Amino acid sequence: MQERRDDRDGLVDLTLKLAILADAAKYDASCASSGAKRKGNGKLGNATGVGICHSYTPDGRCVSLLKILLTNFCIYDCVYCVNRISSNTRRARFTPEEVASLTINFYKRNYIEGLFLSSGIIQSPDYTMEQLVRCAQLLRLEHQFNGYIHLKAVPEASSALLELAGRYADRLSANIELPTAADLRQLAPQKDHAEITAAMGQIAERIEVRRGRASSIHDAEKTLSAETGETYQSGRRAKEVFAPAGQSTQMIVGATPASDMTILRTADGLYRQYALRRVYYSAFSPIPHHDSRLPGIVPPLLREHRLYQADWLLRFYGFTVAEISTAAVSDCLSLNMDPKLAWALHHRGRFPVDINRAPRHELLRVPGLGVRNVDRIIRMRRIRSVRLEDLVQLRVPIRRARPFVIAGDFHPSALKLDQLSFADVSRELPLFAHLTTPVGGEK
Amino acid sequence: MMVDFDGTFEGWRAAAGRYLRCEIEPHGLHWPDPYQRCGSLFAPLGSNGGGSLRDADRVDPAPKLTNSAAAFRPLEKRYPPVPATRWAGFLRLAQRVCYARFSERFTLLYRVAWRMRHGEPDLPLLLTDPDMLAIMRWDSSVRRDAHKTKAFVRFKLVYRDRQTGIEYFAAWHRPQHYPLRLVGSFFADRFASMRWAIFTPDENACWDGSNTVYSRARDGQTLPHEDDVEQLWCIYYSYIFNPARVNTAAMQREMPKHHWQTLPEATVIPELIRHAQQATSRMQTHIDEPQRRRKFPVSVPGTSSPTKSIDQQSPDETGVVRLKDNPGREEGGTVNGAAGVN
Repeated sequence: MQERRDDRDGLVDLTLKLAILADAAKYDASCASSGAKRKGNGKLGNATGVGICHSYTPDGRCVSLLKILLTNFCIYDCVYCVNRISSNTRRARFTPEEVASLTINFYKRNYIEGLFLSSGIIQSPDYTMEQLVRCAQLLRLEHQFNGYIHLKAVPEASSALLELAGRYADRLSANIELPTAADLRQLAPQKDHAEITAAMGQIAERIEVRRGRASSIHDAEKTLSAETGETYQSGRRAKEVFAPAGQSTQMIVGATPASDMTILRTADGLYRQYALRRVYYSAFSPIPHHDSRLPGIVPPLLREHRLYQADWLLRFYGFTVAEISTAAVSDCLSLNMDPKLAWALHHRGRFPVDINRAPRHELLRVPGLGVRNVDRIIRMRRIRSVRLEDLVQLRVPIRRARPFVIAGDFHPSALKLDQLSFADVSRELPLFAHLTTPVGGEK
Repeated sequence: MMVDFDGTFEGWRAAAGRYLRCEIEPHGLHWPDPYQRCGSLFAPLGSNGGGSLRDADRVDPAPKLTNSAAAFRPLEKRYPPVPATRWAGFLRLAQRVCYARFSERFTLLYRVAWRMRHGEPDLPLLLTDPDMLAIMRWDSSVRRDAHKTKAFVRFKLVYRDRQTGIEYFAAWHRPQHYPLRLVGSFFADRFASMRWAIFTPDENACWDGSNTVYSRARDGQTLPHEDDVEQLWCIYYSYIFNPARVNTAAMQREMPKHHWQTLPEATVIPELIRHAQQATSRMQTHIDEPQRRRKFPVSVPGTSSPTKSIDQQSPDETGVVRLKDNPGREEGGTVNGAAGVN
């Protein structure tokens, strides 16, 4: 009891810091904990490869990681950020020990899958990165924590620090912040687009090199163990691991006039050049203490939703940005219907598609058919002809899909496809399902 | 004929294999539901549940069956053999469906196995066959429930052994189905260094450092409900929430109210929603000026302040006996009283 009293001041202090530094971290969209697969070490923690959303806040967003800033003190003055130096927000700073102990305590109670640690820039990029690395090091080495860690990579930090960060963290992310270099110059004058992409390039290169080397060591060890009968050693391989869950980035949408196609082109470029696992689009959210140069509006959530849909089309459905843009109106995605339906209506000549014959990439283009159902249809049609009724059973949104398909027992009238109005058909319920569901594409 | 098996997937598989080899038709078998408390033949689950209450008169044991000429009817017609991969795929489904809260699950699974062996080897691919449809529905429901169990189990620290440093945790969870045996290995791998127990209304799982032991639920089990870290967790939950993006429908779809009773953070949800509207309008209308007050007080809305709760040492009104000083009792002993979780 006495002991508890003595702890009290410390706990109140910690509570206050947690409130401030969680509040400051909530504008980071990513909370994914997937992509790394690691068996338990017999102590604490593992990574299953599939993210687990341990809780959901009333904004419908998933909580899978302890997402906090190490500190919200910052020497930069980025207009869109609540933590910019000119903001009057309350400031706090955790010690690395506090971060480690919060992570461990939450993890043991099964509240979280791990830690997502970011920070305001204090003193210098190098000093900040060093502090972030210190937290991860404490967790990995002293607490032997084997759960998920996502660290923010600070652009302009030294490559030696990035190397350490990637060794301890499952995922690294350098935020692209805004869709174009010009946007960044305008709203975040101290940040440099080139420096950010340089950090991404470094991370991408290390990931690729290590992956190659790790697998060659893996092969060598396998051969060796086959020859000598020695047990399989993975120690050397473990040393070679670098950010096994890859890297991601975040882009703020709606703080500048950049169009949807500009945003998608930037995202597509990043996917191609740096092999990013995810680009997160964060609808610009009104922030407390906001700068008068910014729109004080409700965040454009529907726009954000359409961008994610288009992003999915790029990554899993074989679409290109150019194809998506054929259905765009003045360079922006339609808010009334999802981008796949919009594209299909602009290419009516390519439909209807025969679900019993069409190759997979054509099925993927049918509005209402998702990746999982496409693969189910392909499996089923080997056995027997797939009928419209089967699509109903697979819970395909049939009103949206029907005009675009030929099924075993169904052929739509071509006339109908020209006449139909899809304004009501395209209404999706629930509207933001994909934002809250860890669907197959979550990587 | 009443089937004698322990109610686990392994038990079902062994029994079903036996009956299939003997050509016992699906409608001739009655598979009891081991989790049904009333009228159940079996008190324990699996081998670890304690004394068995087998009713020898009503159970038809396997040896007798194989010797019975009447029960053994050879196949009159040769059916195409079922490829091994097809069986494997079906068994993966069966492993989950065996833990669905659906009394006909064993019958359904046996019927599908029977049909596969009798001329329909590709049945598992016919996802729109009524039996397969039912299996797929139950499978996805159990799979979701198992996933939610991994997500929503909340451990509370019960006791810390000062000498060994080993910590004992316990959780009370209310799943839709019977997912514990599907998720036991997940918890064992993730929380290997801890000692933990998960209690559900039907079944308990307990990790002793090297094995996961399953036992049948007892009446009236609840947990002590004090853990200081929950206060910090609620603070985190309150502040990571962005009031400008309220979407309670999305939250409830993924985190049904059913689970709220066992989630410490759920206590602050109503207050958060109430504050959200005000907070957002304040954020939007307010251009920066010196010394703004915070959106929320630092204490968790709707609960006592953290400072206060630390002083709360009295036993609570629900009569929950705290066991922090009572390490000797095993997990079953950490239970008692009401705590409003059942």
